[in-house]
Amino acid sequence: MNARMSRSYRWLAPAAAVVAALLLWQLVTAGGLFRPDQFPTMVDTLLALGKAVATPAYWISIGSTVQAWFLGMVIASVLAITIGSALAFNDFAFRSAASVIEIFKAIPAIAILPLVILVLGSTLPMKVFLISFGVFWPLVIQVIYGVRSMDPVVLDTARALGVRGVRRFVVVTIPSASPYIATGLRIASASALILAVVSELVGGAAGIGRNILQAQNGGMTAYPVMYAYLLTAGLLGIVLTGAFFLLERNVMHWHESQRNIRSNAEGALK
Amino acid sequence: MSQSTVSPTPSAESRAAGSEVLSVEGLRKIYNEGKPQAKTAIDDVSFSVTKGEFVCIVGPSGAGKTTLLRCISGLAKPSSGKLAFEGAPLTAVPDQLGLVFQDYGRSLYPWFTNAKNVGLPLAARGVPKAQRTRRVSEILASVGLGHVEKQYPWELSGGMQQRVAIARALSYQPDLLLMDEPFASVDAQTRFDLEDLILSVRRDLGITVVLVTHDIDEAIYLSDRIVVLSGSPSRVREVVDVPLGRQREQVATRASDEFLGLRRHLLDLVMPHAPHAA
Ligand SMILES: Nc1ncnc2c1ncn2[C@@H]1O[C@H](COP(=O)(O)OP(=O)(O)OP(=O)(O)O)[C@@H](O)[C@H]1O
Ligand SMILES: [Mg+2]
Repeated sequence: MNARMSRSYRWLAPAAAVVAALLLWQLVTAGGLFRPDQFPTMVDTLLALGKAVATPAYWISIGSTVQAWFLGMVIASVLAITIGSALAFNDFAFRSAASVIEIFKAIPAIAILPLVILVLGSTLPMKVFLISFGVFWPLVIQVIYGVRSMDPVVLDTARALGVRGVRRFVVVTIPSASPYIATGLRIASASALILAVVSELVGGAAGIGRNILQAQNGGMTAYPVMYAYLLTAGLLGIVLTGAFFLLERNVMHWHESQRNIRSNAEGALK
Repeated sequence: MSQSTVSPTPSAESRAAGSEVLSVEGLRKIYNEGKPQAKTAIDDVSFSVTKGEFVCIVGPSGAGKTTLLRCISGLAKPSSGKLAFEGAPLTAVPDQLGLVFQDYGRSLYPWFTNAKNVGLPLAARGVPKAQRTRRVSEILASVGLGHVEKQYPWELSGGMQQRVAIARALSYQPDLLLMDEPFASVDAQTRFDLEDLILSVRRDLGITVVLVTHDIDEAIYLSDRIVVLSGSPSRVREVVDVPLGRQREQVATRASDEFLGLRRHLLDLVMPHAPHAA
């Protein structure tokens, strides 16, 4: 098989799977297995989505969700990377903090939602706080493990070359821990989106989640709209995951795992 | 060329002049000191290196050579003993010290291009960007590498990677170059090339070199003096002068009578149970 053909085949299977799922959806809903107030048909939903896409409200809601996702991710990453590295370098601090981190990590972020709403209201800061809180703990653990598992030769080299302080942190510590950090960020990105939608759905802040809730309250006729927004949340998830995938492929191109992926792909094309 | 009479070597003269680059006195290193798994890696090692000298440290695998190098470079804290670099007590890695690690695959940073790897110590010393770029190209050329600036270390062969590591250690013109079995994992031909490269670098820059190896022939070929270590935990078995002169040539030097005589002597030292020693 030549390279061109295998390239086009690569897209064929996932595309066929999506079409099959959509057809199955249409089949079970139009076939009467579900009533329209339980599950609207695929065609109705896509029509509703088409109509929503043409309205500014649709894009504003996506904008609000993405904004909260982004701010939450940035705050959690900056805090996790600085605090995590500081803890990783200090054995005493690490052992003292480890149990506290484990406890906080075990608290579902949703559980503090009522408290956060009470304090901050249905606002952007509420969403950002919830996302940062939920994402910080698993991320900080990744950072600590990444920094602690640094090859001693890498550190010795930095010391021998006279690379110190902030420079050492930026050009040696972070890149060396980056495989762990990248994995942490990829997982964090998915949970950050979930937390954003939940905070809108339950907490009533503007965004995709609130539009889902409003459509649900709008009665049976608005059900296709609700499903259109659900679909939107799913698509947004795919886009963010894809963006992280591309980012990782570019930023981490030097890492062994990425090099192996490349050389395996080359081998497969032959 | 090489004199057969045992005249005082250049190093002996400068030793008298007292320009000591490195001095090691009663060095002892115990890993996990005070714990049940305590392990004495270095028992008692003393020697000194004068300016311009090429000193090789030989010893069997596991003797504690890497440990010794980590101590004298300031990377590891000795358990006892006195260390001095250019007359001052050694507490951290001196700025004027270059280090080439045993495992270049782990010591070159894979996230940086070769140019950035070599330029890193210059950046840390505040050399401006333009000057750094020029210096990096210069030093890469001087170790026999042209146009690898934009490539990554993992795109190069083992021998070329080791050249990049050497270039990086030389980029900031250190007074002392420490190398830990730098040629252990390259093929014989590359090894000869790299040995001659180090000799010419040393001649051109007038740099002082301390090189660790477990290869006796390599030690004789390269050095002015050889510190022979015992097995673990290491002690100095003998310090052997190598009066072969400055000019060395792979085939002729290795075939010379002086070389073979030294080789026999060193083999006796490292193999105490050789037949005629019994
Ligand atoms: N970080 C460490 N902790 C505990 N023991 C160590 C450590 N590093 C080395 N050792 C021990 O010290 C001894 C000397 O090790 P070292 O690496 O210095 O030997 P070497 O002469 O460089 O060996 P090789 O020729 O294989 O490179 C070994 O027995 C080793 O197990
Ligand atoms: Mg070693």
